[in-house]
Amino acid sequence: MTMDTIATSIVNLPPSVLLAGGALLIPLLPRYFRAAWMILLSVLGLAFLWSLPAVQASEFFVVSATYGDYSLMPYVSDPLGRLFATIFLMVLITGSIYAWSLDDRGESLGTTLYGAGAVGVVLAGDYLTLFIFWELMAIASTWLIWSRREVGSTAVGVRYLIYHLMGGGFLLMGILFQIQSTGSIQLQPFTEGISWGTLGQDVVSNPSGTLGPLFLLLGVAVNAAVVPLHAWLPDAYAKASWTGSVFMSALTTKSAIYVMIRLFPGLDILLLAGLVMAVFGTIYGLLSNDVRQILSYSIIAQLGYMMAAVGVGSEMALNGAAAHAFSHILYKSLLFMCAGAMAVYAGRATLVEWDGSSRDGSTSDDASRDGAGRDGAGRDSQQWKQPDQPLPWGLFALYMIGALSISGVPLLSGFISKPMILESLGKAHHEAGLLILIAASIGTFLHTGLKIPYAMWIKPRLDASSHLIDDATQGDVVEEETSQDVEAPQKHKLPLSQWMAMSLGAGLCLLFGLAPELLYGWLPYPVKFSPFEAYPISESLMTLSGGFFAFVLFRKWLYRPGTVLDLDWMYQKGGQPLRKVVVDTSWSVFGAVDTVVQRMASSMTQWFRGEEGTGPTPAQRFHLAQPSIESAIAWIVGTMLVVGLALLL
Amino acid sequence: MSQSHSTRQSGVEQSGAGQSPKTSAWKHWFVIIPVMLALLGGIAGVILEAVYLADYASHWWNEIPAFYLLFGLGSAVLTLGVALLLQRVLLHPQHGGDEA
Repeated sequence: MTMDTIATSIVNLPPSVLLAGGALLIPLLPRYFRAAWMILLSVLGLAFLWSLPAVQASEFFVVSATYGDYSLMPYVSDPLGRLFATIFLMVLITGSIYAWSLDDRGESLGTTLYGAGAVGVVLAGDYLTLFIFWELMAIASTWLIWSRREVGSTAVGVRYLIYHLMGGGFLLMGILFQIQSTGSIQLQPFTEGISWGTLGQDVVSNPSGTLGPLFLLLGVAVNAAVVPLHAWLPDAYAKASWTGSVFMSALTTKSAIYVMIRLFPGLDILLLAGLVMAVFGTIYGLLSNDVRQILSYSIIAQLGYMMAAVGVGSEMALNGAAAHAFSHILYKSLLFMCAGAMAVYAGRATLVEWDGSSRDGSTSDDASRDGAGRDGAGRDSQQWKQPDQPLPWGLFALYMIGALSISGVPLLSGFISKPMILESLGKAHHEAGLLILIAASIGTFLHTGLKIPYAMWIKPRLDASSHLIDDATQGDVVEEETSQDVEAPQKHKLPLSQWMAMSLGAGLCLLFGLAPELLYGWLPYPVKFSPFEAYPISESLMTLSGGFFAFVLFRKWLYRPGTVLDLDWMYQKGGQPLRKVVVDTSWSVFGAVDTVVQRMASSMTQWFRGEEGTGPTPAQRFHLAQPSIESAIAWIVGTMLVVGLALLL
Repeated sequence: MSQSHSTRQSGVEQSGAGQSPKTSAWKHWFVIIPVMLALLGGIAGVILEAVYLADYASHWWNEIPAFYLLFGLGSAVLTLGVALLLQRVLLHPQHGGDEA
């Protein structure tokens, strides 16, 4: 083997395999070397990815292998996959800088494997490779939720895992039906797709041909957080570790959008789903009180934009979806990094908490209050709890770059992709959809661009100023209050690495916002669009200006502490009888079968040993009658294997 | 005396969560600057539309002057109104938020 061959083999190594292989070393490395190693792996991945020959939309670089009768393509570098892999690797670099001082081997390992899974999905050329990396992503990202090591995060992680295993199950069923129908495992767009009008007839006449794309769509929809399959997202991203949520905001949903673009371009139902997501995410973002939950709902709204563009399906729309996924990862990872920093300074993850005493001096336990800081007449009667220490203006500047980017302010990264989607809808004559998306964009500005910064930076300072004025006029009261509370609040500081990571993220938002041709050159189709024209600029300035003044009018009613009930609460309530029937019946059946099998085994053992008449004691009999968890799992796994085999056959 | 003085001083700072007294002098700017920026943005958008897009008619609403300004205000009011209505149903205040 010559040196050239070895060099070619190394360069042809899929970045996903490089990351997954490199991740295995992470547990052995000391603290700061782990982050450095993650950054090095990501940089190498980028170098390998971009060292491949320049490719056109129709011809792409493929590394393939044969497995049985199927040709696997674990590494396909076409422009779309390369764009997504590039941004995933970029966010792994910024996120690793942010997590530089993280001292958790498991989380570092999970992050790298998660990145490997996401990159593997977008570079996969066949269903089996896609499925393997899809599941790797699900398991590794669950670890990032559990890494927070709180009771709440453990439960949320379990729920997240169940959602994603369910989504993976749908995906697998779709893949199996698809293989049965076409005999091929290559990823191909469904040009015929799913016809909703004749779905029932199609399922009967051509079950595998119809059920394949249907289950694939369902499986991908779970990861893309399509409403009503979205409930895992705001839960998980708000409860994950602070560094973990940065990666999660970038990888899972965007890899699902990639698969949507790859498999379902022009599927009309996606336009409708996208509009619903945009509106839903916007309204729920306005209702939430947790910073990361607001950002999570805004992810759903932005995914709605991308989904609508995939539903339109034109070259400009697909370019817009891919470009928006790229810019969204840039500013959303920045916003999640800022959310972590905010929590460090504020000492809490929420926007509003009451400080326990009302303006008239009574306590929050007063029975006349409703728990939301309102008195019997619905007026605000309690004071906002101040953050532990004022949030720095430097952090405000970085946060606002992300917030204004997501709002589509000119010269920032969101503005180079959002108008492309809007124009594609306009050109396809979806005028109602276009106006809905513009309204959703204004809503995003309301919660991410105004609600959060007002609560974290402006309101505390305005309140502090009011206190100072009050204190100056009530000197005795100040003396009395402060003598009880001499201890100064603890000062928190952010590590330099986190400032560097946030600055890098903000710099990238500015760079791509100022020079959109950098991104446009990477898109899958030729770009015939410029955001720096009078129409998109004037539209953006006017809509945001109108939205700002609406916020000024309504702001005092927007801040309420509490938990927002999402749709999952409703279908969990509605599904309780079903759950009771399914779980309890299954458990009884498993228990009965288990008892019969164990008794038969026991009898046969006694028969073989010739010990008839010396059966188990009553205590042992009682134990045998209880279905053990191991046997229940064995039965479940066995049943799944039989079903899987049946499907394969 | 010195104890009382230092307590009083730190108390003044703490009542503003560590704010310096200068903050009160800046108070109005926290409001004025964003309002001015929003006003300027809106005006710039209207001027841009009037100068460069007078003959532009891609959609029916392009014929309405400053449509996007009105749409921005109207849709934001509508969105906020819907959110506030839903807040009464969907927000459970007895559960606190997540602590950092």
